[in-house]
Amino acid sequence: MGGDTNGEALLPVIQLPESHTIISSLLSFLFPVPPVLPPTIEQTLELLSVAQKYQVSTALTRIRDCASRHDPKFICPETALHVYSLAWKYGLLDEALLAAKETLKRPMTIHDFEDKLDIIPGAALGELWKYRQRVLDNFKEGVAAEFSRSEIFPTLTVLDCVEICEYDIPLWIFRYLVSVAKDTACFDITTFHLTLSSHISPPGTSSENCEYCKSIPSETIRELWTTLTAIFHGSIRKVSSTTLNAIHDGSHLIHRLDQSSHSHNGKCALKVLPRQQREPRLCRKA
Amino acid sequence: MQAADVILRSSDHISFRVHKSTMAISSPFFNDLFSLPQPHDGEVIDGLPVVQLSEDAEVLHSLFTLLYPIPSVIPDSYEQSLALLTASQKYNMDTVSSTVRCNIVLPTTEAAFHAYAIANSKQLIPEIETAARLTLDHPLTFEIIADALPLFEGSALHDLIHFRKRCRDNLLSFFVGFVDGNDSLSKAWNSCRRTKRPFSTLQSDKGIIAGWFRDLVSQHIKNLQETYTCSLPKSSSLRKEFTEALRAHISATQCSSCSNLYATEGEALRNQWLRRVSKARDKVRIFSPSWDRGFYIVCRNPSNLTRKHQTHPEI
Repeated sequence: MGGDTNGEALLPVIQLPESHTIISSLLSFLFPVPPVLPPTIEQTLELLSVAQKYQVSTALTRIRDCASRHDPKFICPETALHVYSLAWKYGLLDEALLAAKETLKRPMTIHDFEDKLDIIPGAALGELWKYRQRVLDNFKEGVAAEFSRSEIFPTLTVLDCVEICEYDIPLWIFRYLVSVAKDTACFDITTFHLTLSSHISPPGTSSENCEYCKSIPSETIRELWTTLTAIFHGSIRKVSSTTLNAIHDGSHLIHRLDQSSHSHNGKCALKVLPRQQREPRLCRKA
Repeated sequence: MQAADVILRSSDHISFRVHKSTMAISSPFFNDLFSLPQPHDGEVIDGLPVVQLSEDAEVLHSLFTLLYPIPSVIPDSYEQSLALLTASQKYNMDTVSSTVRCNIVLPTTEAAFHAYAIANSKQLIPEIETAARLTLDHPLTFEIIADALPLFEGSALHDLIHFRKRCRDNLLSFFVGFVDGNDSLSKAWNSCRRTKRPFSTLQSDKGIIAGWFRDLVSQHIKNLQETYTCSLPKSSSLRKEFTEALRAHISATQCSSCSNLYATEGEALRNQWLRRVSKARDKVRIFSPSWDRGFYIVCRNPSNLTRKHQTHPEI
């Protein structure tokens, strides 16, 4: 075991294209030793792609588990686009989905993406845009189908707010839902509370303060937020599950180990060829 | 085709029986190809050697219609037209390239983003330049370019954004200079008696342009300062805005100075201003001239080519 050179003459040597860092990290996830994640995001993604390539599914699961417990989180809003572009490059659907989900926390505009456009291919951006649109569509459907039937809804319809929308709920809630339906980045507890605060006491105006919404019990607010969270996360899950169904249909990346023996000094070359070199599709065509 | 002496086969397996002499005259590439000894084990059909080409049948058909004395067929779609242009450049058919360029129908809608991405993927510099300029007439947002996104390769989108920003900056600089009275053209518009002259400028030599004109330009300055992703003002829309603003000003104030100015030399001045706007907008090129020239050098000498897309023929 290890980089022993004494026995090399007796053992067959397999030349791999990966670096020492990646191979030693991969081995640490295969053997009963403390697992070692590579130091950078780029290498972690490369490690996952190598585990996927060699079809070491146990190691793949362990690496994913280890990476998910990594502190600081390796997929966060700041790194999401970078991870997404790497996951796209390596054909790692799970990571692409996780990173895509994380990108929902930030707006997706040319302004916001301007300085990152050189790292992400147009096709990957297109897929990310479609993913976001699907989440938004699901959210709109979710609000229409689930929100009006939720337990909190009747409570909202009896509030004596100064501004009620056509659905008999306070206008600020409706406006908040519209803002989320336009941009997933608005789905955020701070934005939610800011919307409520600016309704209760509109900044810079002399308009009437809403005393009714000011006195909405915290329990009601919490329940409203919980309901909206369930709908929003359900919207994301629906997109993810459609994608995962596509994987079970067999359209995921399959790598073929094409072992071709060469008798060069008794060394054996292991060549790994991608059978279907596909980039991850986050959404299936309807 | 009568007396054909070679078969050129498309990527989708359609055979075209053509004449080596015609191909050799129109293309240095085919001239070299046919002057070389042909492989003994090459495919032969009806005694004619077969040469496999990488273009599809539609492109090859169009190409041959431009080489033979028969009605020319230029593809309807921009994408296929560019594929034809790429083929003609690949085989060094300069006359065909010129003909195709003259006949390409440019997109007038948001399809300009598609056109730009396709031209970029084929590395057709003049078409990249033209399409990039056309995109300026439309907002640059993900909503607008969503369908074209998969066509963007490499740094194409990044380059387009920087091009737009530079165009915006140039236009903004012209507008600001014009409103500030620093531009020679501003002075022609400072005779409006209804425009209040700020006290601070009473002693200065700067011309104070007519208020209605200043408001119009200031609105564009404000929009351009806010974002570069909006569509950039173009002369056709500005002409309309100009006319509407002037009419509104005259009917509201009965301003005789603006009315007289417009009646005498207003149209010429307006057109001069619009030309300056176009010049400010079109001054910027997506690629710097040195890059452009360098690219053409490597295109002419494919052995020097280091970019992703090799332009020498693959057959």
